[in-house]
Amino acid sequence: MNPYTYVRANSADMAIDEVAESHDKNSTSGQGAMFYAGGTTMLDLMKLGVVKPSRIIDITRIEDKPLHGISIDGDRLSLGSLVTMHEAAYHEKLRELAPVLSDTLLLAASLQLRHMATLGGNVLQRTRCPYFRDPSWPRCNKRDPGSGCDMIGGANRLAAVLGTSEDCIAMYPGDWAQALIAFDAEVDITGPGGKRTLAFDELHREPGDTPHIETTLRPGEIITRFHVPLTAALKRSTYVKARDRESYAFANASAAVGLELDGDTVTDVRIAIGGVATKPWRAREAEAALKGKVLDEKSARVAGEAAFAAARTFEHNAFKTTLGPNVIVQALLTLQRQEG
Amino acid sequence: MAYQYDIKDVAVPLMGKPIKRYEARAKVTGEVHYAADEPLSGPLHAALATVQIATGTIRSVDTEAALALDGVRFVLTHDNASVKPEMNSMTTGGPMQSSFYPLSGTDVRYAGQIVAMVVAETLEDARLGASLVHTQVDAADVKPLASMHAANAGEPETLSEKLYKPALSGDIEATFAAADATVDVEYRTPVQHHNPLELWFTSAEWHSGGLTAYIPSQWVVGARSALAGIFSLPTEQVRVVSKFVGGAFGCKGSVLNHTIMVAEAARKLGRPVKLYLERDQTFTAGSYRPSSTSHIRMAAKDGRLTAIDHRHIGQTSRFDTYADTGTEQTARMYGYAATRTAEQVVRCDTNTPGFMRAPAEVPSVFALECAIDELCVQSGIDPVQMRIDSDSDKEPVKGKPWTSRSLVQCLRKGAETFGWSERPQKARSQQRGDWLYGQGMTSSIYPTYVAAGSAELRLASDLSVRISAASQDLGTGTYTIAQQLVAAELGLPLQNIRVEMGDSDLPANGVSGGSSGAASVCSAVLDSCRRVRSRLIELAIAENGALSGADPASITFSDSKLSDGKRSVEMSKVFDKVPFGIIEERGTWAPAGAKISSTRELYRRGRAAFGGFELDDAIQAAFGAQFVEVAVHRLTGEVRVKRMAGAFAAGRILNQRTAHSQLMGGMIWGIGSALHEKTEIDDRYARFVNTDLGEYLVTVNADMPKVSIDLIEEEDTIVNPLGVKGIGEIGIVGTNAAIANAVYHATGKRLRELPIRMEHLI
Repeated sequence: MNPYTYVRANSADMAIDEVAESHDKNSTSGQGAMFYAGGTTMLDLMKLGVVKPSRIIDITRIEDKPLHGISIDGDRLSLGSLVTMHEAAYHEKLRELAPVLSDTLLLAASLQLRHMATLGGNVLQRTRCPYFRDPSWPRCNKRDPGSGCDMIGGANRLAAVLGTSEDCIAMYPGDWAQALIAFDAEVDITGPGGKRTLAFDELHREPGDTPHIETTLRPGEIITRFHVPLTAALKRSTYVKARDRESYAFANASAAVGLELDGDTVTDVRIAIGGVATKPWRAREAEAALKGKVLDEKSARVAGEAAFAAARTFEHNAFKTTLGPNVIVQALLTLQRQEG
Repeated sequence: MAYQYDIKDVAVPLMGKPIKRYEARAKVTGEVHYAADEPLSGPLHAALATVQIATGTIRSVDTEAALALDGVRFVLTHDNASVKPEMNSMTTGGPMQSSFYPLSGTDVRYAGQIVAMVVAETLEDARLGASLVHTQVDAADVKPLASMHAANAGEPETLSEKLYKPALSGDIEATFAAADATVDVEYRTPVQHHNPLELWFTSAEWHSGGLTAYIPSQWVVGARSALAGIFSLPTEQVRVVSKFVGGAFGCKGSVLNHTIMVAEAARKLGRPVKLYLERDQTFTAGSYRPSSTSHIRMAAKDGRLTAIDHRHIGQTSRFDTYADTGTEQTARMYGYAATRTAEQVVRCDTNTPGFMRAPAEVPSVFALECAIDELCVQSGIDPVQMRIDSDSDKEPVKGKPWTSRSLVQCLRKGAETFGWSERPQKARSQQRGDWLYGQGMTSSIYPTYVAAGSAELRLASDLSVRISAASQDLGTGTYTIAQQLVAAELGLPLQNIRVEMGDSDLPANGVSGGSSGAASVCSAVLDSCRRVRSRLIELAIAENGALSGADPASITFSDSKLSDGKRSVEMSKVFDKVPFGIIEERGTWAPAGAKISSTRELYRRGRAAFGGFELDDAIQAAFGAQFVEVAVHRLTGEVRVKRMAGAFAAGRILNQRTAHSQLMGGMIWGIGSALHEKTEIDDRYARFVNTDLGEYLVTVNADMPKVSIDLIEEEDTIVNPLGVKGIGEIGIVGTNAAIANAVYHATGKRLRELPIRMEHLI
């Protein structure tokens, strides 16, 4: 690991100022200053030599209220970015009003990691693409822009099939973000240019020809809080995650789904899919295929397949276009069996 | 008939008590020292730099930037390495893992090869320094090959008769022609890595011309002889210590290159040096399970297996011929009328593979036991019944009798515990919700290997005892069974017995591998107990002794007393004429027929001196049967093991608790073998890809079902004086087949390549 300076910030303003002091703060792969919260991805990447910040700003001691706690503000659920995955996963109101927000956390990582990791850091988790995580591979456009992509033509069983580009097929590995994007979450941000609010849908970028730029966050910006509108579909929601072992594994395909039914007719449905795309992925085509229809395995499958209509597969991951729709089917049928 | 031992009077019964582990409290309270915990005075820290090109020639290793760091003291490369060791690899019976020493020249022979070791005042400096070592390699023109299953793999070469004697018995083609069911199929297994939690480590310290090395090791005596040879030291000037090991499974049995580098650096710098390998480096710095292909033809007639024709191909490096010759076992598992086997290897541009728990059996028994399942389906015969009906008291290749064989008892008991009789014969006939259930089974075999051992027992007049032997406890229970055996033999309380192991200064022993450890060291421990007992008997029955005049054969030991049946005497009372009140005896044991000179070679040259599987006129192995229920999700193809039952017969079980743990651990690892573990390979670069615990999937707690174990009582008077067969490896043998067979039964899909994953089932 490279030597670096450690700074602990007590307030969001102080953290932003500290980053601004750094000369090279424009690189997301971070040769300059970087914020540091739970560290569960970043410390890994520092040890692996993938990110080499000269200065890390520890934001876990920031006292500003918006970054802390879980609350219900009118018709919205609201969560601070420094809340740990563990704290959120077991929050009673989440379990009751938004089960998918809890399921996605409980099925992620391990108990130890969930105690360290924060919600803000969680949504910014970097890809597990092995060619990104080990700088001894010669080509990775995300790590080393312009170098190429070793995942294409390589060991790409876990690669994305949606949102890929000629330059990058790395899969976004997170789970919680699928719940946020499915239920129209918003995210509060603060930074050198002041405060702003983004639709969660607008936070992450497809790789295109700049896979090293993963989000629309501007230099020095911090996520402070998440807001999720409370809906009937959120209350009747779940997360299905198909993976190679029962715990502590990333999704081969997953689905965060919410459902509102009138009898068996779908009046509202939200579907986001994980393990298959380069960013958190809302499957609006699948939702459109179902809305107003009678839900059964057949219509669920039509919806699931719609979600993957644009998929592009690679040498070892063609199974994801079969598995992905099946996971959506499973989630929908599971919710149908639940009481509304 | 082979040499017979009188095993009846061994004081530990055929089913030894499940006493608690000797070191249990020390381990859970963090008191024990693993190799890396051993205190050193002012150590330096080392880190390795590797090169990620598979084949080529080193043009330069630039160490300037590393040396410019304040804390860096030294960088060892091929340019300045003064030690150019002669490497006696395990493939030729030596103590080194490989014959190739990367710092011996400029050859690059595999990706991940070590090119430099940076030594610094702190671990941070060492690792930063290693990242700054810049190596230039002229890559070879020919595309490297990392997998026998790659498109550019060459033709396999057949092992020489010196390395492997093929089985050939009966009229193979006539037997196939007469069969009423036959299969001719190909099975494949992937590269897998051990990934013990405790990483490879070495620290080395020189003093007065001697060397002490702390290495997590399955064989401290072998490591000592390797280091003594390489550094031209008298054997007794080298000490290798490995008191506790955090998972070995075969990967810590031989000496690795980095150990030599650490010792050289410590000598040069005049300070202790310590080195931990990083997780990704452990994929290329030592041993792993090579991939395999089995071409297997089998025949059955009238519900009985009649022929096996098994050709197994493994992969090895360009420079060592490592071979897992599991067809030796598959050709002997049942009483076939005809057998034919072949063993081949494909050479790849990789580091040399090596032993990983049941190395020969895991790939070959997988093929055998799945092929039998295919025959059973074809002929409509119950898999347990076909195996029972194919039993034989002689192995079929040469007609040698088994020293003992309880496979049928295992099959019956396991089937009963599991409830096999409730299994519907038809595949894909048990759906519960979205899950398809199925049950499968396998037989297990592991050859009984034994090696010479020695032990020293010291008994003091206060009845405190020290038993010492340079054996190793890998977490398996060796300390415990030694304590248990001594306590039982001398009739003393367990807490009187102190056990010392894991130090090459103690009496020499062989490798804790090949499931031979318990049988080998405990046979020597038994001998030392018997010698001490003789001394005590002499003292007790001597003129004026408390039991004077008694028949020596009548004396028994219990409750800290000697008794002749009528009179008894406190053991502590017989020491009056013993100098210092101490009786010390050295016990030794060597397998029947072993040359005594072979034990000298074990001590001096680290030559493994195994006896067994085949004896001159008999054959010896442990057997088992395993039963598995799986559920396969109809939509996602996820496979979950719901329950497992195993029944095993392995001669005397010294301690039911530690035996149970060994067998259960093996079966659980079998889940990984079948469903989770695969080292992914990038054929373009000939490199391993998923080199961390996030992506190399080992079975986690949530994947583990309830596992029940039945231990079958078995008496064997030939294998060794204790009648112990060893249980370290048999638990994993065939588990993968039982799971694959259960997946077939659940889904109707026959999958012939591991690991079985969801993409194969949706």
